[in-house]
Amino acid sequence: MFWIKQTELLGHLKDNFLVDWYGIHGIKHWARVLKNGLMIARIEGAREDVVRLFAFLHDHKRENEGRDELHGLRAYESARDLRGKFFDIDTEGFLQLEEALTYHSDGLTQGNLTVRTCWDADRLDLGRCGTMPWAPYLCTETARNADVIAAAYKRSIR
Amino acid sequence: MNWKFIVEDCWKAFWEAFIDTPADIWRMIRGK
Repeated sequence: MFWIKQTELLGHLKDNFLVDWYGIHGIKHWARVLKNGLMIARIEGAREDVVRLFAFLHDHKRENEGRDELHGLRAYESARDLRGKFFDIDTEGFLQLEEALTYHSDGLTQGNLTVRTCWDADRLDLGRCGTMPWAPYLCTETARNADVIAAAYKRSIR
Repeated sequence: MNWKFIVEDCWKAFWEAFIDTPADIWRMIRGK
């Protein structure tokens, strides 16, 4: 059921991206979120297809690099339009993606395992903003591991 | 496959993110 035209999707996102493609919310961040997310998913048993879509879509509708409180909701609304053109996923997976995208910057720590994996994948990359990820704000046991946090932080400040 | 876009716009990001698991780099770039 899951398919993705990844190069075409990323090209479309770049063409319509309003902030810096190479900035703190751009492609380098998305790649690290993918890295973090797949690592957590493989250990915890979360859905890798949802994690992949989250990595590429969660910040793609940002209008600025600061406090853009509705960018998660806009990301979900855009994902609805992109579904069927650049990717598709089953209904359950898309509902998980909806929750992960819409609330990813709200600081929540409870929910479906795959949703929590997506949120941790993003939060583990906070080092790029000068913030060390803090275990109580992470949602999975894997992400809260001190070695995992240290590795993600090191990766985020490369 | 849009090679120009991959190489110029995506390669470095994926390379840096997956450098400690190099076997994943090309697979991730291709979306596999």
